[in-house]
Amino acid sequence: MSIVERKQEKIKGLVKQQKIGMMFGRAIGKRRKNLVDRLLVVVASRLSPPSDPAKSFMRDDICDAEPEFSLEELETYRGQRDG
Amino acid sequence: MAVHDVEAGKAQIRNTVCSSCDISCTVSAKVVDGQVVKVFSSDNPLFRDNICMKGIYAPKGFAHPDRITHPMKRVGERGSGKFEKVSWEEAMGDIASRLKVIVDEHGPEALAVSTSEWNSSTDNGSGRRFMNLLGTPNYISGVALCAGNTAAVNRLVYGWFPQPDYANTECIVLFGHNPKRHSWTPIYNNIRKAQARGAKLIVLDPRKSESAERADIWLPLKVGTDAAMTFGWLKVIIDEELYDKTFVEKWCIGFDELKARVDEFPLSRVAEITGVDEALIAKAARMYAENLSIIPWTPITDQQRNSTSAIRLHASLRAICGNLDVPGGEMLMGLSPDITAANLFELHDVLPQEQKDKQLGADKHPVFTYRAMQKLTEVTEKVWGHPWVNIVMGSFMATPSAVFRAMADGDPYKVKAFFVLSNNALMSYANMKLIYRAMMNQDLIVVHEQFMTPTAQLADYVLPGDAWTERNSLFDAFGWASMTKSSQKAMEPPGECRGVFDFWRDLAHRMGFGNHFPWQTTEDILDERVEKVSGSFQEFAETYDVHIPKMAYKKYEKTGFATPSGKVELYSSILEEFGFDPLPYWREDPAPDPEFPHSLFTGVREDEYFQTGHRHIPELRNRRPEPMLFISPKTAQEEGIVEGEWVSVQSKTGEVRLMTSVRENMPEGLLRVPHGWWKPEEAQGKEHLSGAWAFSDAQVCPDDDDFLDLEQGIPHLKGIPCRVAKITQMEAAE
Repeated sequence: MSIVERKQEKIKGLVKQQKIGMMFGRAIGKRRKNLVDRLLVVVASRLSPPSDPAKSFMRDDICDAEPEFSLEELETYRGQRDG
Repeated sequence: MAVHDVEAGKAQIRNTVCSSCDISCTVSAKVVDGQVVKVFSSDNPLFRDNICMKGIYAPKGFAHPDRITHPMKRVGERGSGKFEKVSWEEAMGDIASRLKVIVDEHGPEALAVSTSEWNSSTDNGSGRRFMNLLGTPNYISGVALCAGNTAAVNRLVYGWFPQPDYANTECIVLFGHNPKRHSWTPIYNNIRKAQARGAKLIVLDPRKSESAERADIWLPLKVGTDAAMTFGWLKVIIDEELYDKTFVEKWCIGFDELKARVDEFPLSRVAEITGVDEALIAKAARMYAENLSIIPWTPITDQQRNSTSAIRLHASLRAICGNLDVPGGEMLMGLSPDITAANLFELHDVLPQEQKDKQLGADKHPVFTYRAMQKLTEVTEKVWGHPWVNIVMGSFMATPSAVFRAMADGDPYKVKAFFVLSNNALMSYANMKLIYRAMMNQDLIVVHEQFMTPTAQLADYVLPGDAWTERNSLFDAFGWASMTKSSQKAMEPPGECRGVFDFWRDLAHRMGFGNHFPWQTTEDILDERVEKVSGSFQEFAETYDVHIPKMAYKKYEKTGFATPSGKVELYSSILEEFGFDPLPYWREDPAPDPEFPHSLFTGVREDEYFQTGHRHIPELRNRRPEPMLFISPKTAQEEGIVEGEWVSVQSKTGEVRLMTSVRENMPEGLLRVPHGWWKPEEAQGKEHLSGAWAFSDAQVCPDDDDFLDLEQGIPHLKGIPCRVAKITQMEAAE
């Protein structure tokens, strides 16, 4: 099989996969899900690998810290303008 | 207003789209007593972990003590830094009166506008709509050298600007691109996820960047040689018949001519130009051709003397290797069939042809101006359903350098009013001295901003702009993607801050064409944009984090491509018509100048900052307090410079002061100058411009003909001849 033929075969397979994948994607992209969306999300989560091997590079100390500012801190900070 | 309570009666979570940079990550904002106290990663699996430090520390920007919260009117001479508070009514009334005088005296083309729409988010096409109704074609934006120009050049080849399919690709090619955890975050996450499932990574970068360290192949090419390198890849792919002959025969025009041009680039020549070993070039080319591959857009290729040719060569690679509009490759998404894109409100059809013909720069550098893009309106309507599609604001733009020359010198005609919205124009284009001179020669400058930027300091009026959690908006990658994300307002803007839509709508009414702005509020136009799928924007936002339409591939098999021939134009009929080389080519650098023995590049993002923003946020500034020059150990030694010393980097155009950082991964003779530096805490007014005169890289970026891409007129920022000299800390601070 030539390189071009291999790619065409791969594309054909992906096109079929994508029809299903986009259906899941559309459901996941919804915040307010109907019954069908919820079912699709459940199926998608079952089909997904149990743990994300990529997770380690997707978080770091800054993101994990999730800093939250208190209202008092922000008020004092903002007040530097008016003071 | 629907909210998701997390602490009964107290905290609320709003789903919003971060505009700290132009990537538009969906994130969540925690709101307590009407104030955003925390920004964190969305819980939607599609967007989880797409957050960086700029978003996380954004609450300190929203509540910043230096926010402009009232309209300000200049009271001293221009650039004196003296302003007084005025009402919106007084400001808008005076702006309209003065604009009318300018239009009466010089014509509507005497108004030029510069925007950065990722900062403002609420434009919804209103700026160009206003301009078209008034009659001026002179719109510019930083997208002229960042994505918008790439969109326009891609349109010349196959009629749309493709989006990479990271989820399915087998090979990712990064031309100088270096996405990191805190810069281009979703792109970084997508690349790492693709690599984790086995996708290959090819990185072309003079530096051994973080991405290069993770790459399967790293090609350390000389700065600014993307076009020559791509000729080398095509030489290998065509000679070894690794391309899709069926697609080429059926869907491409000009392949034989392209092949003849490619034959002028044997690998020995490409190796000489790029400095990369022939075998490595061939290996990378084969890897690209043998896989379902993507070349994600990068602003590196946008900003070179050979930019148009390099972008066209990338487009040619995609097409002939069968990577276009297929899963795993790069998709031509088109417009959403369900949500109306913002750019479809721009009303380009109402701008008379005689005014379009006055667009500055179109005569010499037509590619992203009306002159070239108008050639595509008919076919774009046929293929994509609308004639005046404006992807990433990059079609129908004037050429920035030509606009600034007209503003400064009145050549070919006078431009006397300059409106700058959410955009630090003085520092966002090449040749800051020219831009300064241009601004000082204006009768009316209006700036819509959150902070007193160097650009705002030169204005007649500074109008208080809202921030991204203070407004409702929709995001569709600026018309590039068919997917649409919603962003909910999380809190009220402080003081009298407003969005840009309100500015344009108000001014349109005062200028006498308010009937073309029938919407009372931003929400009214958002309601209209989503009306095919939701009863209102609020309903849409409560229903969708992202609306994804049905996707189709190889759509060209039904419609053809949106080019004059209906095919992929490897040989550009439009460029030929304008007298340019219809094929991509390689343009040599000017002869070396011994006065400027080194080479610099600029325009690269730093983790803490996006463009000229964020230097006022303490947590970010503390991480990177000074503008840093990256230099190789050997070059530093030769110049007698050590880590932490202040230096002056000088080009023929100007100089910039930087602190030295000696980096092992920098090649000899190449200096990296950071983009967009000023110090908000420093003195305002034209003498200092809050440090812009000392630190802004726009001063060393030339815009004379040797350094402009011929077809687009955008500046060459990747390989500017320069020299470096040690200075004292006191001199750096002057």
